[in-house]
Amino acid sequence: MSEPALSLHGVKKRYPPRDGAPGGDLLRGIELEVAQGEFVSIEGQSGCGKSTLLHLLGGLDRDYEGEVRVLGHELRQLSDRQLAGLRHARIGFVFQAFNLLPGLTALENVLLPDAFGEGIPDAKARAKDSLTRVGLFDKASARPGSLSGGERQRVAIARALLAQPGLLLADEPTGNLDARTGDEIISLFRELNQGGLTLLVVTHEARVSAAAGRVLLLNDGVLVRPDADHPASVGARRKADQ
Amino acid sequence: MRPQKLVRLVRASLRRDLRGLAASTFGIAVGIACLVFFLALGRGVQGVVQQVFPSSTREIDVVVPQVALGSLLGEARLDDAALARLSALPGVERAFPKMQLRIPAGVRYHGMFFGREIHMGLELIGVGVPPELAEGDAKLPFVDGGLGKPLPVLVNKRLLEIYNKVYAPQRGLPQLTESMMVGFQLPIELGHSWVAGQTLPGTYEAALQLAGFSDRAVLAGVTMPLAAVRRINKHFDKDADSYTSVLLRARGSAQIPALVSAIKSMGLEVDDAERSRALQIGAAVQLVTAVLGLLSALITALAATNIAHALFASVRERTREIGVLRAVGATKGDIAALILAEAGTIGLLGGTLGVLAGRLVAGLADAAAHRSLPDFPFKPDSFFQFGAGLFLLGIGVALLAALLGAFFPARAAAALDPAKALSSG
Repeated sequence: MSEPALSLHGVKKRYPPRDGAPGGDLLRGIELEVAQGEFVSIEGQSGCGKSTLLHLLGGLDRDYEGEVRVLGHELRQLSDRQLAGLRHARIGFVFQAFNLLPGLTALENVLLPDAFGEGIPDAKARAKDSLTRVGLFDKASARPGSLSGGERQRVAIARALLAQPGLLLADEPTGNLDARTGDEIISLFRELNQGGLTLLVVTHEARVSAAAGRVLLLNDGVLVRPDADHPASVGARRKADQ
Repeated sequence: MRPQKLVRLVRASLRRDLRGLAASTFGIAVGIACLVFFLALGRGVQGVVQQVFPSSTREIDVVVPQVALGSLLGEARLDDAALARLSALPGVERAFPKMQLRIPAGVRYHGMFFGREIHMGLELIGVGVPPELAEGDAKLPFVDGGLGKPLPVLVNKRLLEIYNKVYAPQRGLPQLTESMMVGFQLPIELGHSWVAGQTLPGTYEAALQLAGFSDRAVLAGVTMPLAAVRRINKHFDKDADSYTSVLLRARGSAQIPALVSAIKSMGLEVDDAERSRALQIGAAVQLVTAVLGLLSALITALAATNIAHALFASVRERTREIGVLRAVGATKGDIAALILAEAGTIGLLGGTLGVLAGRLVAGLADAAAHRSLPDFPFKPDSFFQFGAGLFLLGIGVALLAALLGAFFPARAAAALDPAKALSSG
């Protein structure tokens, strides 16, 4: 049996005291294994720690307890430079706010990862392929300001796919999109997953979870199987209803 | 990060805030323009001072003290023995004895002078120097040809300048150049003074031939070969053995203080009136240049502070973007390099504009000076001395200032926690 794409054991994370309020536990012992090629959705209410969990998985946040293994690497053992290399070559990120650089064209935004590390082999050809894959080849020279929300998110996905990563981490990818555009992104994710890409999406939208192969609920700092009656699990409940 | 990709990112980043780019570049450009302008002015004025008071920092004139116990007793003499002792002093590269013409001499000329009839009478002071001292300045052989042959003489370059700028214009006489004058001959009466009404036994007439112009020639008089002066003094039974002064050339300017004290311990004196005047004026010019340079450096430093503020603001504004860059594989070093490269671009741009502006303003100042200032001796064609070195210095200072200004913002950007950066507003 091949090694899981992701595995977390006993992962805890505290948030620091702020504005006079005491700190507390955000993640209280996460246990998770995601197999290669799996599409997992993590649900939870706002502020429950979904994005924090995603940042831990991407090696963007190193302040935690427990063990986080990503694509065969124990993240704690990697240096900052090695983590940057792992993100560069093997992990793709998609954000709710798209996070495109406004001064660059769509193609240049897709090419952004090529600026770092050893670059990406055949970057330009791959970038054009990525844009074609998300249906935006004809908008290659458009700047983000002239693109719709859905188009921007598709450019962001094309950017995440440039290095042909083994893992795609998405943080509320449809959060800023209307229903129709959101559905387009979801079907794109499904398509990518069918191509063998491991996907972990954190969301509070039921339609995203509906596309996932497995749905988990982050509740009170731990991951649980969704309970149809749990108020935090709207998507899970809908799935259970079907 | 590879340079061409860094350039692409920097270009995109700067293009986004053209107003901020213009403000930062303008600040640097003003500072560098002032710096280049004042340094070029200082160098130009220093050049004029050097022209008016040519002096070497490793040469000194040794003379017999005018009032000294030794000279009263006839002991302090600058003869060949003293010359040998001076030459043997540690740190001395070479000694050049000088001897004054110890008789009255005058030139009278009535005739045509470059198309004008002139009438001239001058009593001359003559100083003899070894021909090697005037090497390179004499355009005709600068050696004593003996009795009956023209006496080759060198004239100080400053005299020609004063003639051209003051004397000739007032009298409607032609402007002269060095090449026009070389070879010109004048009759000289040796041993006769019209001023004192004195005629020495053995008075005779000879001819002076202008062999060239030199900064080393005596200012008020003519400079002749030492052998000629010695021969003439001997002809009139004057002292032809002791020298009026000895020019000592040290191996380096650092040896001068030790040489001065050695000379004083020999009962001799250093005549450094002109040298110290030149050094004092030069030092004053350097001081003023340094103060103005410092002022310009202050302006540049303020511009660097402005860059620092602008970049801090930019880093704050781009916190999320920095988080994205970290997410797609940028290391802390890449982020710092990006901020520094942005600042470096501002520095290069500001520096280039600054040196061009400094050159332009200097050109305008020169044009205004030519229009409004009267002609005077040693009035330079330009009051400024620019050069590739100064341009490179200006651009280098601009680059350095911008990079220093960017140091802390770059460090802050690199230290940003990527997770927090991505979660920022």
